This record gives sequence, structure tokens and C-alpha cells, in this order.
Amino acid sequence: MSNILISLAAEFTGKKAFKDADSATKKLTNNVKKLAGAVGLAYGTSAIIAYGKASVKAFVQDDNAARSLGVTLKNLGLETGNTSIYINDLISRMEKQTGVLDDELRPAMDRLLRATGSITKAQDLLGLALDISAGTGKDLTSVTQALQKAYLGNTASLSKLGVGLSKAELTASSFQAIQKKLTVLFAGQASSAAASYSGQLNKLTIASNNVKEAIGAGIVDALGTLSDDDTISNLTTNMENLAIYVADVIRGFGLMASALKNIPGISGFDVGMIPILGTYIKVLQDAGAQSRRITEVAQGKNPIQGGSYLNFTKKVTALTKEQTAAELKKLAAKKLSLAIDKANLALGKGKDLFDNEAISLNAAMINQAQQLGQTQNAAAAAMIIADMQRLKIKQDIIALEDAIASKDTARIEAATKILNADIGILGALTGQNNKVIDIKSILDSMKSTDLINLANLEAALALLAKFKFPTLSMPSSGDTTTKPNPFVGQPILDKLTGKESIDAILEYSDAVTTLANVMADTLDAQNYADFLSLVEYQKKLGDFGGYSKTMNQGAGYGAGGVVVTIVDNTSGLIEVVQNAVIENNRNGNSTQYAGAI
Amino acid sequence: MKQGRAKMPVEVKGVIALRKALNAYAPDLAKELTGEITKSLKVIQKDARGFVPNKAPAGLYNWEFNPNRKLTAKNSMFRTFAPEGERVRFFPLYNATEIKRGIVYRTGYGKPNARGFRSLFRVKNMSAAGAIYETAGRKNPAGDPASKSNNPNAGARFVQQGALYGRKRDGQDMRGRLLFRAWDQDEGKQTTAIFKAIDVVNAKFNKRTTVSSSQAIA
Repeated sequence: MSNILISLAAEFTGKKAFKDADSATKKLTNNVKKLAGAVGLAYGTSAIIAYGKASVKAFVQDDNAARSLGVTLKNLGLETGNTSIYINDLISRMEKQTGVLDDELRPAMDRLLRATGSITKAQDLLGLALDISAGTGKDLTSVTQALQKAYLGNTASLSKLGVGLSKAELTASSFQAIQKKLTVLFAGQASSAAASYSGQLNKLTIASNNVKEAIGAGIVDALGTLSDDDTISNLTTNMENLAIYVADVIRGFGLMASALKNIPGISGFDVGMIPILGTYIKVLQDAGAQSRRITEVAQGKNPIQGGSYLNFTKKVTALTKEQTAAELKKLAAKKLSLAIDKANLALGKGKDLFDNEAISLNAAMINQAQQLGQTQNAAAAAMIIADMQRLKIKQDIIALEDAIASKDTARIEAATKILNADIGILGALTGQNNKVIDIKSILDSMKSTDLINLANLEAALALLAKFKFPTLSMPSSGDTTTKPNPFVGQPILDKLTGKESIDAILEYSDAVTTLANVMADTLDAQNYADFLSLVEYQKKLGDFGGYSKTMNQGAGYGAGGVVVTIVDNTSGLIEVVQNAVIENNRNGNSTQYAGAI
Repeated sequence: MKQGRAKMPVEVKGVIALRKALNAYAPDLAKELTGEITKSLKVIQKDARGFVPNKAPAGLYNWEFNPNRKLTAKNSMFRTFAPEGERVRFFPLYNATEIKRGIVYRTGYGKPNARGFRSLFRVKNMSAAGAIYETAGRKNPAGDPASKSNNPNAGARFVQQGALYGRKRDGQDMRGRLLFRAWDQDEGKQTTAIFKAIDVVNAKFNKRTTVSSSQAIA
């Protein structure tokens, strides 16, 4: 395919170019190292920084591998509390004995554990794998993979290792038989290899690696202490700073040690030999060692060897108890605080709705009630009742404030509930449409039952009994006398003095309502009586044909109606006009001009 | 010499990251950016398609595609054979429609080249015949007497009948008759438009993703 194209823009993304640059840098680094070696220069700070980084890396890798193995044990149900510690110790011993790094041993063990599900079998197979690896020169990973597959029934990969067993043998034999043969074939290979020069060098490497891991763990702990946060940039900066300080201190110690060596009679160097400063350094070292042990115990690496494990456990238990007590205390305080918060919220609501003016002008409210008695206005009654409800809310608020002061949660909650209920009633009151009957139902809930007793009802009935309907009579035609007021002589409620109780006012408003309703009924009755009188009166009207249902609608007034006759009395005039026209025509005074029709 | 030509391709930084961010957090802006880039690329594409002649240059016997003529290995002058003798494919014949169809634009970034650069937006001449017409005569403008071709002077014939536009620069031969001609005549206007569109979208995106102090307080 052709590759004719125009690229309008391109972005450098690395890959090959970056790889080239990377390899070039590596080459440069190697050359610089060689150069440094040749001229006998020490790397100083940068080398220590690099070592520090490598140490941290080694520690992290080791830590991850150990964790992974621990998770596998847990998943397989093999973890009994100390199993991972046992396995780690085993690997540590194997590492030292065989010269194979734990970085290889842990994954190998992990793999075999997953395949066999048994620690004993996995341990045996790992030993065999180490022998085969040493005997064949294959890496431990490949050998372990082959053994894992063979254990699970696939012996093909085992034949590829060149272990000296034919395909037929491998296919025909069981894994136990194969294992037995291999154990015989490769017996002692690992220990022999470990004893060799190469093995010794490997052990040296392992020791170096372990040192690296130990230093890495120390650095990570120290950085954890130094760093306030966990950002990578801070971590790396701290790491470099720490390494620089360490490097400088090491240099200082180097100078000091060389100076001490020159003192006659001193053959070796010990920190404790340095006056005063040595003591401080010893204290620091002890503190560091203690911190390391605590970390190890906390991680459950080896609690028994930790020494202070029991003390640590006791401390942890005591601390846990203290924490629990503190948590409970906190919880109680939180509960109280929550109740107070709720109460404050309700108080806030109450204050919002509460009309201070309505309270302070209680007397004015009573006056309004008196006006209500006079004006018969239901809307005014509703307003008064709403104000009374506000008064009740004010009382609730005071009660709630008292409850808060007493710090009694139950009382606060009860007072809050009452306040909320009364606020709800006020909402209903202010939202209603001046319906006396509705207000009454709400008032009923507010009143005590003794207000609605028989005595009150009898009194109301007595008032009604006193009321007399007026005798209705139709005025005669042309009667211009004033119609008598039907309400004259009706009972009038006494005015309120302003000293009545709320209950009395409520009773009073009930009486007013009753009276208003009675008056309305009276008016209705009178209107109906007037209508009947009018009908009777009309029936008596005989001049216009008597009473009819439609007489008041305009069509029933008289049967004949009015007839208008137009009488033509103008025939003489026409004749005169005609004669005049004829005469004019005769005399040549035509009234018709030429061309007219 | 014409002024204001943009160096090609222009190296930019962060556009891939910006487009990834747009796709993830502001798909509407990603769409807007692609739309703006497409507009510019379409200009080049349209111009380049306009330079495709309906007929193949004269003197190139039987190169013109003829739908009525059945082409076989025997009658084709432009046959191609693999070293083993097995026919690989016919020589690509000149077909204006096919060439025009092969001039396309792409807005997705491609694979990195040997130097680690990825093309962000490009116009391509994808057809084989189009590539021949685009570049023929660049290497041997006077023909190649040493060529074993049936027509060793083909290069000269191409150059005689259609000049090469553009120029060689920075080790890249950017001369041609279709794409490179369109690019040369555009004088970098579309590149400028594309970068302007990127700037605009980038500004919009930054504005959208930056929380103002008042909002933060609220």
C-alpha cells in the first residue's frame, strides 16, 4: 500500500525514540561508572540515593511476595494463625541453604501450594524443584511450573526439562512414581550446588539482598514518620533528602573512624567510644531497633521472637477498652447534641412563625374579640383564634427552653413534639378560609371537655327560646310605613371586660357563632314569609286578569293588549296636489325635466 | 518563494492528552474539535480531488482503465509477476473515480513512526494509481534509461504533462500533483485553522474544568 500522506500535525509520544534515549543514557551511566572506577572516585551521595531507592524497591517486592503468599494460604484455608510465619521462615532457611533468592522461592511455593493444596506436599515438591533446577540448570520458575502441571496430570512440560525420563515413562507413571524417580535422580543437587563456589557467591548475593530489604524497610518506616502526607513527590524528595543526610553522616563517621584509628592503642571502631555523641547515637539506635520490633510484631511476622509481644497485646487490649469507653461517651454526647439540635430547629421554626406583637398586645386581641361580638364577623374570630394559638406556641417554646436547660432528653423530645404539633395547628388555622365550623372543630381539640357541658347548651337553648320570630304582614297598596326591624328586642350578648380567661373567650365566641346562625335563619324565614305575602297580594289583584304564574314576568298583564289603527285622512290633500300638477303642466310649467322617466 | 508556508508536519505537545481528556470528560467539545479539524482537512481533500484529471496522461499506453476491455495477464502491458512466476496482481490502472475516492482524511492519531512521532490529523492518497500519478517523475524527471520498464521514459512524460508542486525539505520529498499540490497552495491556512480550533476548545475545556472561587465557596 502506498503511503502518500500529509500529516498536518504530529506529536512526539516516545516509544522508539524514548527507548533510544533510554539506552543511550544507560550507556552513558555505565561509561561514567567505569570512568569513576578507573579514577578511583567514590560515588558519594548519588550512589547512596540509588542504593536507598534500590533498597526500598527490594523491600517492597519482598513485602508484596510475602503478602501474596499469605493471601494464597488464606484462600486455600491453610492459614491457622502461624502458617505464613512458618512458611516465611522456611523460605528464609531455604534461601540461605541453597543460595536461591526468596524472590524466586516465594512465587514457586505459592504456585505449588495452589496446585497441591497441602503445605507438606508443596514443601517436598519445592525441595525437589530446587534439586532439579540445580541439576538441569533450568530456572526454578520453569521447574516449578513443570512440576505443578505434572501434579495436575500434564507431564509434557516435565519432559521438556530433560530430567531423564522418557515420554512413555512419564505418561504411564503416576505422579507419585515420577516424583520418586526424580527424587532419586536429583538427590543432593541443590546442597551440592549451594556448596559450590557459585553457590557461595549466590549466598553473598542473598545476604546483600537481605541487607537491602532490611535497609529498605527502615527507609520506608523512616519516611512514613517523616512524611505528613503520602504523595509520591514528597516521598521521593524525603527519600533523597534522607539519603543525603545519611551519606553526610556516613562520611562524617568515616572521617571520625579514620581519626580514631590513628590514636595509638585503639584497634577497632565502636560508636560507643565517642564521648557524649556516642551515647546519643546509641540511644537513637535503640529507639530505631525498638521501632523495628514493634513494626514486626504489628505485622505479625514473628510475634514470639518479638519479645515484647505479650506486653504489646496487653497494651493493645487496654487501649481498645479505653477507646470503646470513649466511643460510648461520645455516642451519648452525640445523642444529646442531636436532641438539642432538633429542639433548636423546632425553636427556630417557632420563632419564625411567632408574632411577638400578637403576644405583647394581648389586650388588643381581647378587644378584637369584643368587636367580634358586635360585628358578627367570622373572619375576625379566625384571626383571634390564630393569635391564641400563637400564644400557645409561645408557651410551648418556653417549656422547650426549660427542657433544654434541664438537659433531659426525653423531656426535650416531648416538648419538641408538642411544639411541632401546635405549629401544625397554627398552620391549619392560618390556612383556612374563614369557616367558623372548621375553626370550631380545631377549637374543640383545644378546649377542655368541661366547657362543652349541658349547662352551656341549656343556656344557649334558653337564649334561642327568648328569641321570637316577628309577625309578618303585607303592607297595603300605597302603604309607605317603615318595615319594623326584626332584630329589635333580640338578646344582646354582654361585652367582654378584657379580664376573661381564654376558655371564657372561646365560650363567648361559640355563643356569638350560634347567635349569628340564628339571625341568619331568622332573616331567611322572614324573606320567605315576605315572598308568600307578595304572592297572596297579587292573587287579590283582579283588574289585570287575576293571578297567574307568569304575571310577574310581563306577559300576563291583560288579555287584549294595545291595538294601534292608522286612519288615512289625507285623500283630499292628494287630490289637491294632483290638480296642481296637472294645472302646471297645462301652463307649460312641467314638473318633469327632459330625460326624466 | 512563497511566504508563510508552514513547516510540515508541525510538532505539537499535549493534543493527544487533550483529546483523551475531552473524550472522557467533555464529549461535546471532543466532537466540536473533530468537527473543526474535519472542516480544514476537507478543504485539502476537496482541492486535491479537484486536481485529479479525468484521463490519464497521454503516451502511457493502456494505463487508462477501460471497463469494456477485459484485462488478462497476456494482454496487459502493466502486468506484475512475482519472482516465482506467480502473478501477484495487475498493475493499478488509472481510474479518476477510484483515485478521487482514495483521497481521504483521518482525524484519529496513527501509530508512531520510526522517530517516535504520531500523526494527529492527515490527508492521504490511498489508491495505488493515485500514488503513481501523485509522485511519478520525482526520482527521474527525465526518465530512466537504465530502467527495465516497458516505458523507461514514463517519468519524463509525467513531468511534461503535469508539473510537480511542493518541494523537498528536511529529507522529505513533498512534491506531488494532488495532495502535495493542494497542500502547497493552501500555504498553511488549514494548519493555522486547526491549531486555532485546538486552542479554542482547550480554553473552553479549561474554563469548564476550573472551579471559580465563588463556586468553590458555594
